[in-house]
Amino acid sequence: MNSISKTIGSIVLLSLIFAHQFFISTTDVQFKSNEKRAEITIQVFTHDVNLLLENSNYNTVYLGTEKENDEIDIFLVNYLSDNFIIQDYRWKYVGKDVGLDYTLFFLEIENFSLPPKVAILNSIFMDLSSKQVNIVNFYNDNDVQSASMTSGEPVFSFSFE
Amino acid sequence: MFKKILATLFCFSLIFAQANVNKFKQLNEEITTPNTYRTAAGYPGEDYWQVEADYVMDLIIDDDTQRLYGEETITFHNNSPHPIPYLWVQLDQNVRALDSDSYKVQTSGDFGAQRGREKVQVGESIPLSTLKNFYRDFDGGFKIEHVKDGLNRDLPYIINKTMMRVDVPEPIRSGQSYKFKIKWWYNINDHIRDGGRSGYEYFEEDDNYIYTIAQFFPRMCMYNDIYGWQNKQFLGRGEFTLIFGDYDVKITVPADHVLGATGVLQNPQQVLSKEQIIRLKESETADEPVKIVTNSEALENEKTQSEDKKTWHFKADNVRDYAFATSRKYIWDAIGVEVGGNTVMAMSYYPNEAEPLWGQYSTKAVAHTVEVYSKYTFDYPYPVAISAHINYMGMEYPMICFNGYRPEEDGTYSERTKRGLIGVIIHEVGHFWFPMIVNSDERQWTWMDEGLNSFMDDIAGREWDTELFHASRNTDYIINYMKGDKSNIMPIMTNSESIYQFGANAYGKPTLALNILRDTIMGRELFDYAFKEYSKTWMFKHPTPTDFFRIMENASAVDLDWFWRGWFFSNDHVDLSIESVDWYQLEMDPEKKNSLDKDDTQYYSAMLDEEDIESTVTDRDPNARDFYDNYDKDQITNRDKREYKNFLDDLTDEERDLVDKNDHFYSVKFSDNGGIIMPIIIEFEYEDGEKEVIKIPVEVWRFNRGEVTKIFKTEKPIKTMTLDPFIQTADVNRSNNYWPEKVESTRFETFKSSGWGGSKNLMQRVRDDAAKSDDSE
Repeated sequence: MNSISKTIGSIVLLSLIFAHQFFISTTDVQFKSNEKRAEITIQVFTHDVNLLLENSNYNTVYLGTEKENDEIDIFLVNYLSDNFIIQDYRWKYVGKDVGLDYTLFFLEIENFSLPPKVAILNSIFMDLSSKQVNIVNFYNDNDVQSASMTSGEPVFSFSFE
Repeated sequence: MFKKILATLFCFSLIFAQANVNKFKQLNEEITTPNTYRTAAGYPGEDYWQVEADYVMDLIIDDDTQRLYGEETITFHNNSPHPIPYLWVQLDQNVRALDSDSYKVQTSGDFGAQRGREKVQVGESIPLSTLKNFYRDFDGGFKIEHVKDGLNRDLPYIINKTMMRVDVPEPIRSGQSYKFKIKWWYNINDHIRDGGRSGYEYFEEDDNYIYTIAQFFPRMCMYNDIYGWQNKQFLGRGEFTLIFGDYDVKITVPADHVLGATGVLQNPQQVLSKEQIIRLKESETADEPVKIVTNSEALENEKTQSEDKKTWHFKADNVRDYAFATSRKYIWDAIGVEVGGNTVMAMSYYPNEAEPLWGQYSTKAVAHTVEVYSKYTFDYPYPVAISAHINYMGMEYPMICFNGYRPEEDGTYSERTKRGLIGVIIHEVGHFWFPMIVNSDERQWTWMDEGLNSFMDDIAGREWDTELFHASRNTDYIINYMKGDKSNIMPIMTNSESIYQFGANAYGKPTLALNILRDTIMGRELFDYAFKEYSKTWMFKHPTPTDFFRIMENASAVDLDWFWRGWFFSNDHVDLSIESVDWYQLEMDPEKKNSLDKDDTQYYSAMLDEEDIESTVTDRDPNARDFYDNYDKDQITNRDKREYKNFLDDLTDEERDLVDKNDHFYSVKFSDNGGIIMPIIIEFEYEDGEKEVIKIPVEVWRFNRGEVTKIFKTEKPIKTMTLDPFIQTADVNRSNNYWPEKVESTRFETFKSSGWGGSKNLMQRVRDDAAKSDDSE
């Protein structure tokens, strides 16, 4: 099997593992005005992280353990850089927590001042499934705005005017 | 005048009807009206009926062309009270026909209907899976060769996509049976390439196939008291609406294949070796699964590529469907499980590629599920329970299910793979109950089988291993899903084809809802009785959502209409909060009261004054002072004492006891910010460190005001209050659950403060340590 057909194969499979029917992620962006920081927690299914890695021929047996291949983090950070973008800001990768069910990615932005409008792109795993929905909750201190990104509309502009 | 009053009255009642949005309003419009088919108590009524169909089938799997050829005789039993003028037959394989509607209705991101986008948007963001839809070349779907009556006369038929109408010469009268025959064939789909709930997997290394075969025969549509003839086409997602019947099935496959199927094997002497028959007998009473076909025998079979054929003959009574798995790669193991005085054969079929995982876990997980589900519902009534392997699947049929998950090529596997395997087997075997026996309409309601079954498999998972299948694993995710933007969340009571987030909506959310119902609202004893009553009552019958809602209430004497309304009919979430707390004590002895009344608040300017002003005029000049300066306001006067005595004298003995108790009263205002109400579960931590949890029934919200104030009496002063201290109400926002207000640390803060290496759970660490010590040896 060449690598293209393998990728396509895996994509189709995803929709048929009935034990995993979720195609969903939730992201909390927490803006702390007093610290001028944004803390970002992205919660995804570990299953999807596995699939993403396997499509790029990584061995995932030791994902989340001390034996994990160092290149995996580099690959994942690059993937997140392409698929999770906050307009005009660059986030810093803080770390990840791989659980049996879901994986949390932690990102942060220092010297963040909340613009009146800020667009967020979240296309995580939309390349794996067109059904993927990424919910983003943007907490401006305690106020929250919420949006669902889909493969048709992976960008949402939050407004804080 | 009379007219005018009438009109006014009418308007008034209209306004009233619109205004009644009370969360405790009984479900009348939302559920079906009770009748003689289905009672108000949620049971089958005195006129309940269901149609049935029996099948006699001859099947051939052609291993050279990956085709299935079949001939069947269907005997349809019209147990309805009406004459039926024509028959509808389901042709599920047509979902893979080149012109299938399942491809035509696909929209970009599957959100076209919701957002009014019908066109696939062209650009860099088209996922590969979308593009792939434009390159279909697989010639799927049934090729019907003939439809004949019992006397071999051709019957007219017309195919409408995934359904076929067969025109019978005259209506089939109530109570009458009708026999007809169909001959067909179809190309079996490559499950690994094209997906599907059945199909084959090809193994290039040894040029062999695993076939997991289902939806392989034209089968009767449902005809019932709810919809008449089933008329919802199969688009690929809403699963199956099926009726019960008896099956007599002969399957011809290559002679070196090992085959597992729905039902009991009728001709073991013809298809099994003497040794295999002996091993099978031994497995009935064995303590550990016995291999009927061993790993090395399966490896030998892989090499033979036999041209000879064997015909396996099975019978299955009272099943709603039929499926089988066959391959020369299969290892086969089995063990007998005692259930209600019967021996159920728990069995697994898997290739060497699935080892070592499958040999260790599959059949044990099957046996475990059979025991646990039997305990909570009814004794498993069928003779076999089978788990058969094909990669990347998890799909259920009566007595047999097809499951994925296998180790890496080097035989290692992650803990997730192991949990995935045990989890999927428990889930799919659980489906032998829901919907295979408690036969709900999957085409209409995914949650009725997936939701109830995910709830039950959660329990079975925890009874397998409370750590591996921890109670929190579904809860956290679904709370997170429910809390945010509602534009992609549908009520659970949404048709199977129209659900946005299929897994979260039809699997995860009902599981969480039923867990809350069981542990927090009803209590396990009341819930388990009612759930068992529902299962037993609708065993081998066709329940609707209404029947489930009603029986859960009737068998428990708990009004749950508010719960169904919030969790099943709305997309609201739970967010209760503590808004304010006021503290009171009964009028008391002036000696104690004054010390409490004393205002000891310090003001900054006053503090500075105390340092800066050495002496004041009134300090220095006695003539500047009068009665008021000399009077100690805190001093208890005789008047105070007299008043207190009078107050006490006026009290009855009972009232005096109350005052003597010196209790504290806290007036706490709660508010409902999410829409789904819940019992108020609040923990008090007293100043001496002792804790107490108080539960107020959900009816406290019955006036529908969005907030309630409740007074609590305590003997000791309270230091802190926590709403929902044990995460049992799915409250999405815990930051407003504390008094005094407390900032909950976010997951981000917790992670950062734990140090960046804290990403492993205990089991992983232990395993890593073990692996390290292995390395050092």
